[in-house]
Amino acid sequence: MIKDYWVLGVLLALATAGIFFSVFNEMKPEYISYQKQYYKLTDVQKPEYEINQLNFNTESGILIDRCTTCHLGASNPAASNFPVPYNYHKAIVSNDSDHHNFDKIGCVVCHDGNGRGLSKQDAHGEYHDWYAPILKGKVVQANCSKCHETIVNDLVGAPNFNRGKKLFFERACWACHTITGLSSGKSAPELTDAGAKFSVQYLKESIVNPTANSSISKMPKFSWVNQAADVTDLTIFLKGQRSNRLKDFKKAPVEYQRADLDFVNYTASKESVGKEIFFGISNYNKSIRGGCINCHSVRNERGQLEGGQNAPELTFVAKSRTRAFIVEHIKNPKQHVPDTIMPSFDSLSDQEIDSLYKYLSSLKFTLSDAEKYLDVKIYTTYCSGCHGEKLDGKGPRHALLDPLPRDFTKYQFIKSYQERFISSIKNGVPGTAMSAWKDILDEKQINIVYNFITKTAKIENDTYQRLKIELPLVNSKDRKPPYQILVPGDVQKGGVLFQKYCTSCHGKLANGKGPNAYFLVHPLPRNLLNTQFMKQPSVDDKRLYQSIVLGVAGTSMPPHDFLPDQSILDLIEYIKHLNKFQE
Amino acid sequence: MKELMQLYFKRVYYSLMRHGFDKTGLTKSKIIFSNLFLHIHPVKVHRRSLMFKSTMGLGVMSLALFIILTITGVLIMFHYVPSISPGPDGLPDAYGRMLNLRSNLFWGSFIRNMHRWSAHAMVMIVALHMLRVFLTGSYRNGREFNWVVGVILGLLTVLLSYTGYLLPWDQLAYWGVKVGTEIAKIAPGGDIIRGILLGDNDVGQEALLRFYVLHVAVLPIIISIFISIHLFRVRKDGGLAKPADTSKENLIPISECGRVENNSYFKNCRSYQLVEFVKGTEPKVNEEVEQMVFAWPKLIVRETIVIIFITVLMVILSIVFDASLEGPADPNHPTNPAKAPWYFLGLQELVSYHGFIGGVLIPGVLVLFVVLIPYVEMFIETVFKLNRKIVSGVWFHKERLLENSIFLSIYIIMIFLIIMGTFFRGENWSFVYPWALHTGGGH
Repeated sequence: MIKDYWVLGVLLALATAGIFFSVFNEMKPEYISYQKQYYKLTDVQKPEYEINQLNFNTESGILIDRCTTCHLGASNPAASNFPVPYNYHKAIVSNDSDHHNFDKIGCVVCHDGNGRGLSKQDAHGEYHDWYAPILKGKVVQANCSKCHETIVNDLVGAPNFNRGKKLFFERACWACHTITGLSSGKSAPELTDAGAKFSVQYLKESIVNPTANSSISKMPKFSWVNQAADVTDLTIFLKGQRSNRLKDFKKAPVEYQRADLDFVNYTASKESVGKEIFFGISNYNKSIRGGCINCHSVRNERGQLEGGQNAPELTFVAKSRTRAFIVEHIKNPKQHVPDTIMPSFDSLSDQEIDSLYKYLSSLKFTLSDAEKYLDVKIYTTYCSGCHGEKLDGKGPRHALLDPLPRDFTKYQFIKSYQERFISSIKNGVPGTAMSAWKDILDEKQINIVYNFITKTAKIENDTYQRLKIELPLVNSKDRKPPYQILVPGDVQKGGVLFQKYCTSCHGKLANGKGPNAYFLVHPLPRNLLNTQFMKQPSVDDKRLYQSIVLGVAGTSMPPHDFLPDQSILDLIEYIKHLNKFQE
Repeated sequence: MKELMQLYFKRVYYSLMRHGFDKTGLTKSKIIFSNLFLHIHPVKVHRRSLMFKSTMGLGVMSLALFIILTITGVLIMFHYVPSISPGPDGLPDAYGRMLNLRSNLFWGSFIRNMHRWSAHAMVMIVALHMLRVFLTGSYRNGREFNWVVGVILGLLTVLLSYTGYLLPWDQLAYWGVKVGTEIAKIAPGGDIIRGILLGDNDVGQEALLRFYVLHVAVLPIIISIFISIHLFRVRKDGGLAKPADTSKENLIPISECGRVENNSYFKNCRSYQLVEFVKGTEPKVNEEVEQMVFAWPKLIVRETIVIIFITVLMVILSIVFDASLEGPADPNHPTNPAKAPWYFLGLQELVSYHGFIGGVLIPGVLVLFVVLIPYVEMFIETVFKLNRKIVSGVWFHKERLLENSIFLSIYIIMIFLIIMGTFFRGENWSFVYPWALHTGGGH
């Protein structure tokens, strides 16, 4: 019995102690220890400990602000040398005419966080899922746009934000992303409200590695993302994009500079202008809507490559393509290559596009006479950027090209299509990034590179031989039972057959993006809606027939010799119909 | 004058209490039956009931937690507003009140912590209590219906906890409840139940108000009634279930249970003799009278120990761990993964395999099975004329191997599923290891 009383006594004591401890804890909250420190620094005798609250009444609600409960020295100039968090907050704009009165507007308006909080973690909003964790350092510039107009004007106290805005144009972000008032790209998510939706960390991560937060992103991985300053400034600019503002910017006190976002208005087409647009940097220290260099690369006279690795090199483009092609491609790239990720640049004026053409045709790089006929040199200069040094179709620029560059290590393919090979080099392949090389390479060079590829791919060592079959004629007998007499192909029946046999790889829409295509490797299923590719003379009924019956050697396309000829004729008719429909 | 004052104080004392604290049997029984709060106990209890092994104090703990929850809940009610209309700073009112509780309301975070941890603890303790009752076979021999009442109490506990889950109106609450009510959709007629519960097509102001009223008024009243029934029936069935003959068992010695003086009257009977005239077996009197000891002070002290123990545990938990509060509820930004409260995570894990089978069929069959298990057992024993000599109140009785194995397996599977859902499920409900688990959204 006595033991029970002892246990009860101890537990009662514990309960009392625990409850008293919690009350006692509550009586000396975290902020009092901060206030004690501060009053020690300022030699205040008998200080009063209290919560300082400031309500900043904006047009869209009150901002409750208790930050100065701990940050006591924020508006006390004598506290300039105090340690954080007691130090004096310097004027935002470093001259005498700063109108920000922190006693009136508080801290939360710029720094975010949870203004009601009275413990550090709580107040700084650094807990899970709080919508506005604290902004520190220069990132705070992102919040200027809560009150101030930042689209047309540059703010004096926000150099990083302003630089980020310039980078938005220089790095060609504008071409794909829309920010109301600044750009109208259609190829990527709108960023008008990016700052309100995403955290600084998220934005930064998505710039550096586009697939980090969205695995299906088609945004190129840019080469400049290792420059930390650029990424930071661009992040600050994006964090400042919000559609809901606290104040009408007309009422916000103005201390603006004119933005140097006056876009250069080119009236004459000149090669130098083209260069400025291409590089996105103006000689007049004004912004340009340009920045081709972020994806495309060019070579100077000494052969040094410069630019991004997300799209084909453009050193030779003026010779390999016609002027009309280039002008049209800038305006509407999907016209030529349906699956390209290049956005439309039809906001450029005719003079600007002409200037770009002039710049591209001014690029003069050729191999020296000594190197001109060296097979490796030719290959590495002209081919390896896409087709890869190892001939595996995985050059530095291959990833975002669609269709992917041909993989020459698949020797069965090369052996099967030798006769078409030279023609592809000479005339290019329509509907893909492969351009015509006949005006850049002479006959001898083309033969050298052809021999180089066939030799390296080791086709001679292999006994592989593709069957030679002919397209069956109408009115002849089917090769499969019941040996019907063949009739011309029927689109309707072909469509049904296509849905049955082809969609797993080529997709329901025949765009080469069927469910199984996700698991296939280089080369991927052909987009059968690529009209430019499908309508070239070499893609005739015979070739389609052979590809369906025998499969395509060295690719994932399997043979379909179980299908009767009649069905294949129907399929061919359906595929041809698809492309007629496209036009 | 002195005598007069003594007489006066005596009369004052008599108006408060009608008994002294001497050691006679009469006083000991008076202490119990003349006190509203104690008279739920019998005057004399079996020595076996006083031992830890017979109950582990789980039932008393559940009741103690319910009382803690009522007290802390009422304190929170003084501050809380079930409204999502934006307050002055643009945050939903309910959520703003939570921020106040945490930052500047005196003792607010402690009270909230107590309430949150006690609620979680109560679900756990009630589940353990049910396990104890099953494994000791205490629901047999006329107590079958009390088992059903107990299961209803368990369901009410979960419902209370679940309705309270929404009230902070933070991301955790919103998406937890959202997931829970989406599961309800799968059931036939679940749409209607969901509609009645939410008062809307989605979790919103109406849902918050309904959950609030259910949480603070309707369910507590219902659960109080069922608790009364539960305890009343235990009392009328003769206290805790125990074997008919306990003379061989090693029990607490009578000398441990407090000294009794002048006990001639109560030596041979348990309490009032009048009820012995009632026909039938209820209420039970005068079984093993020699094993009975006075409830005062031993039983009362032991119960107090259990109550204070669970209180201390909750106080320490509340001091050490803060109840989480995330960002305000945002219907446009789902957390990924969106997880229901932990006691529903087993269910959510099942739903992730198959909506209807995992979300409706298995839990439905399971609840029905658990409710009816005493009657299933009774049915089999009656129809197949099984004459099992099962002694209730004994842990892991030999002849109950099958029942115990089935029931224990259900528990283990549920615990496994809950652990799986809690610690091994990451973004998009994919399998991750706990150390790689991080929850986050676009913010």
